[in-house]
Amino acid sequence: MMKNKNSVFLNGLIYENPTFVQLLGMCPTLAVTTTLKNGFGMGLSATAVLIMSNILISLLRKIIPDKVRIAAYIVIIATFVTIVQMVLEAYVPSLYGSLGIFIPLIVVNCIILARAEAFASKNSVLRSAVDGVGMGLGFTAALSIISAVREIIGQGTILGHTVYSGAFKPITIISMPPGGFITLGILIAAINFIAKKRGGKKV
Amino acid sequence: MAEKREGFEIVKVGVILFLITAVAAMILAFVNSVTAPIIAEQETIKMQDAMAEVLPDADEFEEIPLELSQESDLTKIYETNAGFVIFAAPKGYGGEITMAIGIDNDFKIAGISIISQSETAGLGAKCTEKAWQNQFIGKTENITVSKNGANGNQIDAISSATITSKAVTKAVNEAITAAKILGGEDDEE
Amino acid sequence: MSQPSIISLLIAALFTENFVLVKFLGCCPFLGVSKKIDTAFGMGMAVVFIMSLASAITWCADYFLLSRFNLEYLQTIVFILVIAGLVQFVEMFIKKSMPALYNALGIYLPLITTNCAVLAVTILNIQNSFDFIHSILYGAFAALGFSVAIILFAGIRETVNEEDVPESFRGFPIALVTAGLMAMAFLGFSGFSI
Repeated sequence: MMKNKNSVFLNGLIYENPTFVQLLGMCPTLAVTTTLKNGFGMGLSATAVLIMSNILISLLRKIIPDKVRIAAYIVIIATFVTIVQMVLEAYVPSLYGSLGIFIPLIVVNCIILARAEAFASKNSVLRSAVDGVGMGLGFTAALSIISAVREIIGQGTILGHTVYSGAFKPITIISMPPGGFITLGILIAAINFIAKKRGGKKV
Repeated sequence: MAEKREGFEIVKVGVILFLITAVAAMILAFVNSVTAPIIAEQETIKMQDAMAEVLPDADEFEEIPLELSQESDLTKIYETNAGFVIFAAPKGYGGEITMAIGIDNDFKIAGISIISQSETAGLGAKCTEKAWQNQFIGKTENITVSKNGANGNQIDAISSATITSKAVTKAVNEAITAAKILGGEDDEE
Repeated sequence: MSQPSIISLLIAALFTENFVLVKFLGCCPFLGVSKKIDTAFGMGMAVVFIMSLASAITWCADYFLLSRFNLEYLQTIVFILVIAGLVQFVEMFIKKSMPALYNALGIYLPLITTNCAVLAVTILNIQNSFDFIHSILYGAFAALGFSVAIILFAGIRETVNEEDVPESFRGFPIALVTAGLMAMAFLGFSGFSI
């Protein structure tokens, strides 16, 4: 049983990483990953929503009528998103400011609805919670990697601290929209390359 | 018989969905009642901090109620014992830049502060750096943006972020004009 | 707040603030439904239809309900329900009355509920304090911007797929890099305003 939960957890974090493997939730992945702080903050906000909605949907899975399940999931997810939004605005206003419209848009992040439909509606509360933690952290890890790369290359800083300056000039385009697409493309290609070298399955 | 059951099903589905929505709305109302005052307070603190920053000598603030024209970037004007504090929201490259501008009693810029912005990280976002903002201090009118060395009433543009620089400068110029009109200097254009 | 002119709204939505390539809204369908020009066109038209309608309805919901009774905190939940309901209703409606249109757009409709561009445009309408007409126009124009991006992108992808791409880059990664280069081209429009 313990092993089982571990595999659920690792599944979300690595083997079925929502961003790099399942390619879900692309909008926030590209839009808010300009600095590590934003990417990490977005990852944690989505994780919080994902864990809470997974737990509640799993709890209610026998009550929610099949016909309107999607509508019910959307209401539940939107509620948690709004709570996260209000809490961020009250206690972490700077993060709230820089994530902007992408906080309410967590509602339509495909990862959350996909986990509700594919996992939480069919599994026990505990397993759903573990799945939420795994998937959420997988998303957070992916966003953190992308945003760290973009912040270092695009601005020459990490978490606002200067990494290099002088002879090397930061490549600003990496911080801008085109850089988002290109960085993610190259990272996924790199993961494909490593997976192939190790004889694993291709993404 | 089957029809009756189907009708019952629909009612049941509707009631459950309604209950979920109602509970959701109640929870949100509760969380909102907790966070709304904190958010409002933070907003006030942010504005007070900005005011203290751009016009440190001022200690009495009085908002001047104004009908601002629709083209104006200015949002709020406060008269103080040491001059004016003017809030503005010019449109930059990535959206509105909300900022405060302090103008002393001689109609000189005492300081500016960017409260929030969504400019490009690494370029326009540098408008939040004090070193750049301090260029405005002491300037008096018709400030322009220069790309190669500023003198007189010019300021250096943030490199590769001319739109941001111009947006901020335009708001500062508007603020000076407004302060002169309100402060009774008659030579406004 | 002043209302922008229609021309500047159109130019902003199509080019300078293109929803996909500049604001990163609607990336999932942009990357997912862009392998062929035909499907990209179908998706684009379905989005234009839904986004205009959704803008109109959510504007009314906000004006007559939310801001009137200080219920702004219910914005997200109400708007997403309106969109989900609208998509479902439109699907049923055109299935019955316009089978031809349903055949063309039907398969894209369910995907639209989770297209974040739709929810985003309804929220942006309120944030920008657009009036009723401008909200609908902004919805339609933003969706046109989405369509322009996705159709151009599909055209490029059709060609790229015939090229000899390094193996690790095949499929999704090269599509992302392509999108990056398109975004770079659209960057040229920035600062361009009327």
